[in-house]
Amino acid sequence: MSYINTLLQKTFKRRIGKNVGTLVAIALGVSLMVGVQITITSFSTTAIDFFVEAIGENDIIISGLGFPITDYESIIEQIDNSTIDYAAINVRVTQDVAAYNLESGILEKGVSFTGIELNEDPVFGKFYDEDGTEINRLQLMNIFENESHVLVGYSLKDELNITVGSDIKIRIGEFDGFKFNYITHDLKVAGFVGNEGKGKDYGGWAIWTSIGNIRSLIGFAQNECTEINIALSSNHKENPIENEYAMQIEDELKILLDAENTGLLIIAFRALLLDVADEVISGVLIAFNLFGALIIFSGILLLVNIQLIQVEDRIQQLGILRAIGSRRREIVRLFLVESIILGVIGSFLGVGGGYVMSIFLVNRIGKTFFDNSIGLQPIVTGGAVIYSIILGLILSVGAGILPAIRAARVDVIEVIRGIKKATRKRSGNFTMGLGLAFVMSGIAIFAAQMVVYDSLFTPSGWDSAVEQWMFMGGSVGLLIGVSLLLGYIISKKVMGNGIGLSFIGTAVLMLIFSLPQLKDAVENSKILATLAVVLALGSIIWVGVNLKTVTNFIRGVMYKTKLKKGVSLISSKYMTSKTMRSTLTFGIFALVLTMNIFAAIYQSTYSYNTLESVEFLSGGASIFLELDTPISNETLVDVEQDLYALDESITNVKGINSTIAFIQVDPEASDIHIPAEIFPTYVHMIYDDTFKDGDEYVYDFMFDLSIPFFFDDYKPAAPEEYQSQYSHNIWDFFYNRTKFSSDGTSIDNENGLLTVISTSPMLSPGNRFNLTGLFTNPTEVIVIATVRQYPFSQARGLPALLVTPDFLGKLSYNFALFPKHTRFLISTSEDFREGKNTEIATKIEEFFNSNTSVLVQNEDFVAASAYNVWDVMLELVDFQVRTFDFLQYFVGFGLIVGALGMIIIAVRNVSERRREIGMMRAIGYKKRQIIGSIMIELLILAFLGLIIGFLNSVVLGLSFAIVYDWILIIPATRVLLYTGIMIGIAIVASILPGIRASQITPAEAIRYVG
Amino acid sequence: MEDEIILKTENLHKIYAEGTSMEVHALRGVNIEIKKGEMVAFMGPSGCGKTTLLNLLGGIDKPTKGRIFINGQDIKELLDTEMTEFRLHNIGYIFQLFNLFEFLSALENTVLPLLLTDTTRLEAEEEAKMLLRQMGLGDKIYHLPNELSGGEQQRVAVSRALLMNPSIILGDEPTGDLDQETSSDIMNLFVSINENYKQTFLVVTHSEHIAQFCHRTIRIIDGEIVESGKEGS
Repeated sequence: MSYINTLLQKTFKRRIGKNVGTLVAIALGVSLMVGVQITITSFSTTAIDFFVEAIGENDIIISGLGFPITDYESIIEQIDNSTIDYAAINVRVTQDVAAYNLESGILEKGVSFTGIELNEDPVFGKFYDEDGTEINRLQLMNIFENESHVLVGYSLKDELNITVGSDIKIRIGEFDGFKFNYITHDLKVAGFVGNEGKGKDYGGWAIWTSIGNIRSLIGFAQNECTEINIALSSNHKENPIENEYAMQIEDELKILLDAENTGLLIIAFRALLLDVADEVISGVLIAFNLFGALIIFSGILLLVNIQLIQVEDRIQQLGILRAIGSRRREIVRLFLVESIILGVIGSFLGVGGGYVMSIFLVNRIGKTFFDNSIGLQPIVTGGAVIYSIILGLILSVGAGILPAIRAARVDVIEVIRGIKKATRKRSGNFTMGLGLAFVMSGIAIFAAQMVVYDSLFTPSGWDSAVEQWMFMGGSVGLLIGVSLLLGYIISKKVMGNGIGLSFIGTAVLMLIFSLPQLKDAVENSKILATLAVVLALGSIIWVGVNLKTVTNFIRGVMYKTKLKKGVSLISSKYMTSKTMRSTLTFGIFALVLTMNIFAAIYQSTYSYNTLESVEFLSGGASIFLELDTPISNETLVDVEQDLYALDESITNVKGINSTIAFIQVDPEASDIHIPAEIFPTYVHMIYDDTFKDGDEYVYDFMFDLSIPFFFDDYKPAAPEEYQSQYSHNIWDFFYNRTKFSSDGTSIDNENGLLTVISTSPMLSPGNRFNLTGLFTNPTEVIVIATVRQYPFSQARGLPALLVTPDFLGKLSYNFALFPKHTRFLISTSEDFREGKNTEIATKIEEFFNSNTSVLVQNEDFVAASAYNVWDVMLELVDFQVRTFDFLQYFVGFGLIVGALGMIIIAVRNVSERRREIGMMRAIGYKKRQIIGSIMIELLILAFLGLIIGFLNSVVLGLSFAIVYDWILIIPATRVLLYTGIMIGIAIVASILPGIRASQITPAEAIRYVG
Repeated sequence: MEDEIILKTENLHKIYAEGTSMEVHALRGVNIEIKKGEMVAFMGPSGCGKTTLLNLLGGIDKPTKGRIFINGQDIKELLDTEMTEFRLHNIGYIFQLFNLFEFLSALENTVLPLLLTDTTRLEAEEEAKMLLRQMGLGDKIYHLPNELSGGEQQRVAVSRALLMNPSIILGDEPTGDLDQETSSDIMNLFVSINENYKQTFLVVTHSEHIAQFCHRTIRIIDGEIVESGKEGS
């Protein structure tokens, strides 16, 4: 045995250069896996931290929904006497106000005016000034000694353009038992709160005072507050609280405080926020995962490729070892030890490389998503590192040892002399058995899930990711089984083709036909990520199986060029002789291109379709206006008339009454994914003349664009005119009929529930839930359709519903009490995309908010925001574009690392072929012909990768286009750019080893034995 | 055999790893003259410089000192590209380990040199097929090297060396990997070609048996010619 150890040491030393190459390639492969995981983890953790930092250690909020909670001390006493164990508790009085800088005439609505107890537990945050110095309790007492002195958050300070000593005016709605009366108060800025402690994030937009001052200002009694906050842990980083535990406490508190009857809103706020954060980032995460999966896949190909080269290089040595008496297990051990050494070192180096890669990516994440690159560090989880090292090790050892085991079994003479002996034909029983097993498992999956039955005989179809995964698994299993059986009966090639086409066929068919059945974007993306990998895998297998046919064709084409035929012959034949390696190399090209081109196609398609559809979807309301106060309460202005007078371009103005109500769902029975059982929603009351003037649609919004199966006769691919007409039918159906059966529609409303139209993906047609107003019993409603128009859907993350006047009786209190979202739809005669509408929007804001406003002069101001829909969409799209820019950056790393890997593979590939290159030189191949033959090889693989990568990207892009009803845009310039880059990489990766190869002295090369 | 000198060397030296502790003086002032159509065997113990000399004569390695003339052309003066072109048209190589491309069929291995010229593929393949048939490999032209016996592989290598109709054929232990019977077959093939086509054969060998097939034997010891041999010796 000792000679094996000696041999191992000597071989390792002799091949040190090659081993370094292998190490680097393994490290690069593992880098991709680690880098992707660290980046994704860092993104989600940072995003969640970003959300959570805003609420400090606060877990649960008990809120009176803006109303005073009376006798809060007894509530705290009840909690103290219960089994609920908390770390800290506080009470606050908070009012949503509009703030106005008297000097500059700048107005900001939605400002939180908060009064705190000066001895509030520091767990809920301390006050810091703008220099980061803590403001202690004594200083606070001094500041708030004067009732009108306040501290202002740093963001609000900038927005209102105020300094210490500035006078500001706030407007608070005071409740008189029936409605809010809006009263203004004068305040003086005593100081500012910096971006730390209480001032962080939300606190930056707040005006702070003491609880005593605010009570006095708005007329609250000493035993009244608006919210009670509970921290279950004083340090969530060290002692985290599970979401489920927080929700359990929420339930206990609801029972303890009899929330149903007292009207208290009790929410596990932190857990809810984490859920919302999860929801928000899941979309981006899915894109990351989709591309990450492809990047990791290319890393795996890289790793397996290099190990194959490592073993194949030494087949002859194996023969010699066997000839001198080495046992098979000794040879396997030799390779095992070598593979483990290379695998372990390479994997650890890969973790380092992945970390470096993630530093760049995470920095970019900061700039793209959080506008804050400073201090953003990659978050390395032990699990990700261990997983990557183990995966890297398994792959590198597996890829190194499996061919070695196979090689150790071959005949000694065969290996040494390169003569093929007649081999015993394999019975193929194993293939047949495996085929049958696959067929059976495919059938079993289908039978278990009833997916075929569901798809054909139930209206819901395959509407969940699990069903589609099952279908995918079943069909792939069945098809692979059939392929294996065909392989047994006909040939291996048929088998390979069958397997490759099974993957491709399943992916393509699912992308086109079944994906649109998924209503949920998150579910869609899960399937898409899987299908992207399945498609890529299938196309790589398929091309690999047919590589010989393809290269024969390409050789035929090359024979017709000026290229010397000897060069074409050698390159193409060598490539086919190393099918596995060539396939892996081609696979890397295909994957890298799939990622890059798909990212480009998706970005362009998204931008084009979003922007193209804005005008159509705006329904003619190119501007909309949002007020914090229902203007109908005002006597000074008649908005509609005054706005017409404001600018002659304004052609239509229509006010919409809005309020806030609550959605109630039973989480056990409902499939509605809202963050809490009781969740606020905006409700917009639509009258018959809101959109229409007689039979004419003044504001022509589109309903149900995303629900192609609403009516049986719906044609999803029909032109816009048809869609418009269809939308009108839906509107009439909604407005004039609330009672209908399942005839003619997939939605069953035999009980005649009140209908609503949803503007949020959280609430889909067919969903039922209770809508609750104040002092009213919950009313069960059903969503009949969705609307995607911006004036309704933009609602600070909250869902919004359109309702008919049928609801007036049920929600009249809400309209009286929470009239904070009154909107106006405004149309103009200006070009939708020109800047003139922005000027008009500014004029409208000035009309309400400026010093010259009649409202302001009468100290009865209304905070108004006017939006040019086109500008808003540009901003939204800009964020998406930046997101995709990051994705390009993300996949760009895949491209760079892939390129480095390709160069190493190409260099190693050439170094294994020294002998052949020597032979070529001896025969009469010129140096440039040697370079040419090496380059052609890689260029052909790159070219194949290019075609497959492009086709895969188009198929994936097309599937997105189908799902979202988009026009597919293929950005020619960018596709050409990536094509150029890939060809450039192939040229660089082949020219360097090509030049090196051409410089090999033929006499030495011929003697080379690996 | 004609009197015309086809190959001549003058004071040929080859030093490997010159100036290092590993320095090896492989050839020390070799002077030889080979006539057109002559069959010459180079003999000597292992490491005496036989293969080095053959590599220098074939232009796949460069001498440290001295000159080599082939058909009156000093090949040391040729640029790499010119030398490669020269080698393609004038020199055929046969190696001990056959050195066939394992991924190319017998036909493809044979036809390679002609595919580096302007000859069309079909013409080149026709010529190669004809040659392979002459070599007795008519029924194995599409076989891969590992599907051929050692003798058959060497005949493919010979075909490849002959395809361009070179004036000089160099054989580095061309039968070293074959049994005596097959070796004799191969050497008889060389003799027959030599007689029919008047090509010059330079063969490196350890075997007196193989040397007997040649017109003369040049013996080398420690990089020096110790016996130039006489015609017919």
